[in-house]
Amino acid sequence: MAVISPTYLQNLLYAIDKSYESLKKAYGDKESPGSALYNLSLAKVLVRGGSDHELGLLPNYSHTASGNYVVSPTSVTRQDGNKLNHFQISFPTISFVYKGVRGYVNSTTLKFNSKYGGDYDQENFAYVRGRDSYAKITTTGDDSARTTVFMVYIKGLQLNRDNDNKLYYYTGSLDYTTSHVVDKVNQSDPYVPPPPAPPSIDGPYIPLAYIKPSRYTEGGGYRIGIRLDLTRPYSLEQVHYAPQEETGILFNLLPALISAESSVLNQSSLNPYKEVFDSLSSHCNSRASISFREYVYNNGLVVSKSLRELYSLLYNRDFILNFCSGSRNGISTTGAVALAKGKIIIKFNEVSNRAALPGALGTYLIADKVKVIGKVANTNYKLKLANYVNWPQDGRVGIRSGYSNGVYNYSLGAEGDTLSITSDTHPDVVPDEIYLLSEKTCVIPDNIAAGASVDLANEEYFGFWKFVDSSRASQIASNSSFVIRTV
Amino acid sequence: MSKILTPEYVSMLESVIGKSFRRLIQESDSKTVGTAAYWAYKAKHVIKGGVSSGRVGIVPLDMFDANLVPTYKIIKERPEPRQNYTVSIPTLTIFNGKEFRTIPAVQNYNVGNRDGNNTDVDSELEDLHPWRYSCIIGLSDNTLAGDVRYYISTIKLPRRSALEINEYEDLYESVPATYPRESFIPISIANVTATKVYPSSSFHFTDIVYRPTIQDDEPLQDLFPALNKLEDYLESIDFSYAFQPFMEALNTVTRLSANVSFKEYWDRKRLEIEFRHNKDFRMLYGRVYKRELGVDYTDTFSSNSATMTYEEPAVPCAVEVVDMLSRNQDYPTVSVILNVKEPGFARLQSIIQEDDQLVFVNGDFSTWPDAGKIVIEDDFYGIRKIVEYNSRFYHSSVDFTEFTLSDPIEAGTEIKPGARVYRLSEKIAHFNSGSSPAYRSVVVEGQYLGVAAAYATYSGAVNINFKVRSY
Repeated sequence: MAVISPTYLQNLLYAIDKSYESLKKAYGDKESPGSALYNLSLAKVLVRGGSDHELGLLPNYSHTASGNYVVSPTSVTRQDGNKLNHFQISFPTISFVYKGVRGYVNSTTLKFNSKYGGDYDQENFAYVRGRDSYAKITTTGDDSARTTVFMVYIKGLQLNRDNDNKLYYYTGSLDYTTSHVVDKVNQSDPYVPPPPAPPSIDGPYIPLAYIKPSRYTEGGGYRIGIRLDLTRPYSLEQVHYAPQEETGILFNLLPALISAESSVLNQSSLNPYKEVFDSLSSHCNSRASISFREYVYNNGLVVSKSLRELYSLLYNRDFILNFCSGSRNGISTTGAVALAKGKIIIKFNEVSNRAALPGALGTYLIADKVKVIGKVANTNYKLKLANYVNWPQDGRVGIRSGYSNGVYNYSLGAEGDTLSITSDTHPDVVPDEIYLLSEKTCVIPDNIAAGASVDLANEEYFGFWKFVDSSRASQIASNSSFVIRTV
Repeated sequence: MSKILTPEYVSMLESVIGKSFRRLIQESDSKTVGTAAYWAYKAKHVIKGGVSSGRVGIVPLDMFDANLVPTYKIIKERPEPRQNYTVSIPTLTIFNGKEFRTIPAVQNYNVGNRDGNNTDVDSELEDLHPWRYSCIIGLSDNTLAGDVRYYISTIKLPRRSALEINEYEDLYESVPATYPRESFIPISIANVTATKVYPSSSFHFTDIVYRPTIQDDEPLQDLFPALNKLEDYLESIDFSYAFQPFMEALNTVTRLSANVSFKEYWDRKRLEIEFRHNKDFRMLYGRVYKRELGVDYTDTFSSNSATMTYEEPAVPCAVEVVDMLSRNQDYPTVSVILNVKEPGFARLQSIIQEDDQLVFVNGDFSTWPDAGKIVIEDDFYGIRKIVEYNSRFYHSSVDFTEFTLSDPIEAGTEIKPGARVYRLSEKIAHFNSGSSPAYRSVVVEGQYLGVAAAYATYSGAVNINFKVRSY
């Protein structure tokens, strides 16, 4: 009776993961640019107005006949005569909406640098650099002229409350990244590479414009200079359209687009993937008398997050995860949080001093989790949650800062989507996610031996967060080697 | 006027719907690397071992140099951008029915080399060379031409990227359909910058590794059926159904505003204004209605020769030649000669060079006429060559067809294996002189894959203005 070897299984899991990941990216959602559902959401916005996106510009952007969205007024200045070292663009005050709340960025001027400037008098070329690519701007009618694109974005959005206790957004400023060289801008359909991720910034950002400087003609002849083309890919997708005025379009097209959305979602059946996992389960069971999850765990195979997500969607159960391990060398936690709830155990691999182990062991287990949008107030540590939670009014949450798992008291706001830290000390970060903790105590029996395990609780949880009493945990770790994991 | 009748609004709608459809259907193609169906195919391959028919794999023992394991990554410093630079690739053993050895190769990444579109990869910029290109390192498979050796070669891609170094996952460049798939087996994607050459990380290599079959029957017996089913499912998803209600609604709303269908309205409108339907949207329309939505094969031409757009219809269709002169003019007698592309095409089997007079294609094309015209197309290299042949012979022992050209070919540049070869038919759209309403047209009935060439014949100095498009 041969069971698939771990090496082959690892390769197989990799391929299944990639297949699912690719399909998932293709379907996508309205927040994942380029995906099918993202583009369908754009179609809906075109038909009905408004915006499907959390972030969007308010239309003080005018839609020109050429189909481009331009900031008006826009001025461009070359600052140093012959050399095209930099130019600047003035932006007016820009209004935007984030999660239904209006914000704005003050008018500003951005300077675009070109590290490598060519002297056009000698070479007939000027260059603008974008990272390690360059754009050539010519004095002649060169159809192959390339250009560099810049992406401008609003950075530094942060949730806050003003004196009237209204939610508003503290807006940072405009910033930009030099981006890619676009090949042959004069082609009807030039290749435009995807934008780079903006530099690390706090909070969400709005890609505002995709700027393509290129040569232009003036006074009957070519002249080195910059003509700005704030092309539409980003602004189009982010603009809040005015409501549709033609009921015929709305009445006929919108239901059809909603139907297309639901059809796409319905077609993304995961059943064929389930059949693969079912066959793996029955294969491991029949050929090696072991569950598939145990086989993966025992052999230390790498399981990606997207594969875990697929498995959890199909079975409402995650792969087996290690949360914590301990030995005389110390205790370490992995930071793992399961995608679905499961029974959590402490399993003793070695026992050096059985007498030191029996007794109560308190743990904080993860009962629920929620994404965090940001900080709500300047003075108190108050968090805005991504959705309403049905948690107790007061309790304990887990917040990770660096490699440390902190436990804090909280008080839930009346609305259910804000949460204040009431502990004396506050965490020094705004986490992406916080965890509702449940304190549980299990009892390690007198006869515990190597290989035995104890349930940390009767219920199922998303993970283990921390020991209640670190000295008790250290005592156990000094006299045994153990792992805390799901089953 | 309703927005639905304006080109700006419709082109935006077509664009987003077309992109949505395109994004979905590419996941069903198991031959496109990185798609959902492709990875399902790979999963099958892990279980059953070997490689699928027609594909080539590297035998694992001979993967790249041991000191490069496990990433197979070669990161080479280029001393200075302006200097010549090469990367040595060792002998590889590959499997294609039986084992072959490649010849150790030195690949050239010099400044001034030319990219896939035969344009300069690098232009000098004083002493500073901020430039970069991507390329595909692969195996040139000449076995079909009787050469049992495989060669390492590099195809440079024309588009530049300024992504951060090492961001392989984001290194996305599309390769045109005529990329020589049959004769070039990619083993790595390399990113060449001013100072370094970065072949891609291990999975690009392991991707085509020939795997020995699992020795035990049980994993194959237990796991293969579900994997096979997964691949079948992914390949068979028909996403066009999801968009059918939208296409119907588009027809309805256009009828409400213009009293004609969406296609009819834009067929007419496209004669009056410059408007081209989105290519992906045309594909979707073709899937839903089994009809071409509308594509121009030429620009409007007023002399005897036409500028071709080289567009292809989403589905084979008839051809329409439209007289674009406004009405109440004295029309001359004009014949528009069309070289239409017949359905089905062959793939070039061996390289064509200047003055060659023989053209070899894979497969049996005995049903094609004994003499006639063919067009050789390679989008990747921008090649479109119409030639006449006066004899044709099928070599059954090696399964290829040989065409003898009437005259030596003026290739201009080398045409590589894998280029598509279409059979052309000559059709005539004849217009009598006289006076008639605007936009008179002649339809050439049939199911064609486009028009390779069009030109007008007439006598005297007369006004003509024609456009050739799908019907």
